[in-house]
Amino acid sequence: MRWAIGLFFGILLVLTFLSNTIQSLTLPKVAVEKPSLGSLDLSVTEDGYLQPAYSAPLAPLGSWKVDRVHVDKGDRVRKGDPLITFDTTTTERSLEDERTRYEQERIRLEQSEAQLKPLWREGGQDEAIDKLQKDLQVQKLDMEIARRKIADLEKLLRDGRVLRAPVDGVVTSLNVEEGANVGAGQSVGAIASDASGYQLVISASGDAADALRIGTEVTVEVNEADVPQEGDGAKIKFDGMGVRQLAGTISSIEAASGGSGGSGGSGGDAGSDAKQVTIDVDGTGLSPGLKASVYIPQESRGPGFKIPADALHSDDSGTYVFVVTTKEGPLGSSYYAEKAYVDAGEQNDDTVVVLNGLTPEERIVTDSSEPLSDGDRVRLD
Amino acid sequence: MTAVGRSVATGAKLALLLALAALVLFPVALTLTNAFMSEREIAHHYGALDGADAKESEDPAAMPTERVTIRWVPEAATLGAFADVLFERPKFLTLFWNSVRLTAPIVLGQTAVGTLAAYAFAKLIFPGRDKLFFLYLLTMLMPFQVTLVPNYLVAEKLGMLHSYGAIVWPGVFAAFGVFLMRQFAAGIPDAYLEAARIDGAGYFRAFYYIVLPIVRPGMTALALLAFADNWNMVEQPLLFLTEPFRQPLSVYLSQIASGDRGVAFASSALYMTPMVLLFLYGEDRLVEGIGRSGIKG
Repeated sequence: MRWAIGLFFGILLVLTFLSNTIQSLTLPKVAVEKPSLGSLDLSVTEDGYLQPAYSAPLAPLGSWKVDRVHVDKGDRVRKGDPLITFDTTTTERSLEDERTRYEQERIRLEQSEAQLKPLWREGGQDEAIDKLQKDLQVQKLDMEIARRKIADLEKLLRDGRVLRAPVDGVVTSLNVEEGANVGAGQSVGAIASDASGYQLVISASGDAADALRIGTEVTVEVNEADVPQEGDGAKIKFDGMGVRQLAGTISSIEAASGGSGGSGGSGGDAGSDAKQVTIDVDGTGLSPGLKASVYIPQESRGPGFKIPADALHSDDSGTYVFVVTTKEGPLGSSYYAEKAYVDAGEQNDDTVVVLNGLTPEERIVTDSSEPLSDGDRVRLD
Repeated sequence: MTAVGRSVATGAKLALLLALAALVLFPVALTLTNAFMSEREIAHHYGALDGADAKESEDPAAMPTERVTIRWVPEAATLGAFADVLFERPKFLTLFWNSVRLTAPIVLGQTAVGTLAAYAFAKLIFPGRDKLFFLYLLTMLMPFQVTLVPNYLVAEKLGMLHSYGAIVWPGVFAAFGVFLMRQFAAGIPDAYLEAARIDGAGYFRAFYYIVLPIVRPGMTALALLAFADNWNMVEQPLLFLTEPFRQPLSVYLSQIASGDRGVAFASSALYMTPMVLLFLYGEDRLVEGIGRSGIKG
């Protein structure tokens, strides 16, 4: 009997020694948090670069060789300023050819008229006179065509030899260099129009994006001391102005074209419903590529319990969270994870508002060492 | 009385004793068998205790019956409740060792003090011996509830409140041990001690070589009784120990009405195990010892 007593106490001693180990092996460990009441912060903070609302394309009128380029990318130009001078020798040559051809037609016409005069004097031979008269008319029409052609070429030379700025603005791109051949209508650059204003395009996602409304007034901060992204180094402004606050208005919200992603790195599952938000920025003296940031404060409509987004799960019956219930017993409290179905409201990157189904005292499981199922006994962290 | 009359009387006595034994063993046996039932079965049989607000279970097998039903044989015997107690509730082990830490010093101390005091009260002659013994006995006659307040005040004065000392020291010097051992020691013939004295033995030598071997069965009996008494104590821990994690297992078992019944059955079975084992261990020595307690006609 002595060994039985020894065995009994021995086993209990070993179990006591291993009790913590056994606990950690058998029960999942969970971290809990109490929900806080309030509205969800759905503010949007994004950075971007100012873009012109309208860029005037630059294209030569004829297929010429570039003789001189007068501006650089990033230069501010006024309407009518020369941008590119072309070498128009080829067109001048064809103009001369056309003029010569016109002269030839004129001489031919005179000859035809000279043939017609004797026929009138002699009378008769009506058929021959008729034929000659028609020939004269054809020749006159040909001369008409030649004259128009000459006028066209002259106009082309007059207007097209020097490519001028179509609007006041900033040269945003210029993709030719001296000596290059360009075709008529081929784009050689663009000028951002000052008159059209500037825009900031940001991306937003999730409920924060849904809460944005077209026409909302926002404040855009433009960092003028910054190096314009596409400008050259010489354009840095050292006037000490630094950050300037400008008024802006949300002008459009569109579904983002695939793969653009948020520059703010909102990441996660929110990427699928990313939206592209365009903000019109009012202000003078802006230039493309200036770094701008916008902060749009907004809150979720209905207040509710804020819980970490990770704590929210969903199954066939809806969205739920695991809440920890305590069962008091003489051997201490045991804790159980139970599903609580909730109505989830808006959500930002890391927090979600629960509108229904929770009380402030409930402990929400925010993290667990193992996947939980309804009614599991757990250890509190 | 005829032979028939005698056998009838014997049969009647036997029947009465069996009935009494059954009555006493009934809760113990029920606890042991039900400890092997699954939580579901327990809920089914005892769910009626939870009253009208009993949780409606979706599991028809766990639906409580209208009245408590007593089942001896589990539908499917399982060690689940034991595993639950031993593996998943470390507090059970904590409380078990609390019980050991309270009971072991009391048993050892009470046996030692009781034996020494019994020797003095039974065999030494000094003035006021019997009056002192009577006073000592008075404390035993008074129920615990009467001495509760003075005990508490004294423990506070001694700075032992909320510590095991407040329970262990009164237990060590409990009058019951002295009383029981005195009865054993009184049975030792004075001639044994006189013989030792004549042979030149002092008090302690006489105690060690004469008294101790003779009262050893009495010590076993006292140890067993003291263990049973203190292993089951409820009032002292409730009064002197405020922190729940320092309470002994007996306090938990006194609260068994609430909480998981399956776990309660299993922990009760585990709780009584050391007592049963110790009794089985001490039984032979007890009986044998009483048989030859030095008083042989």
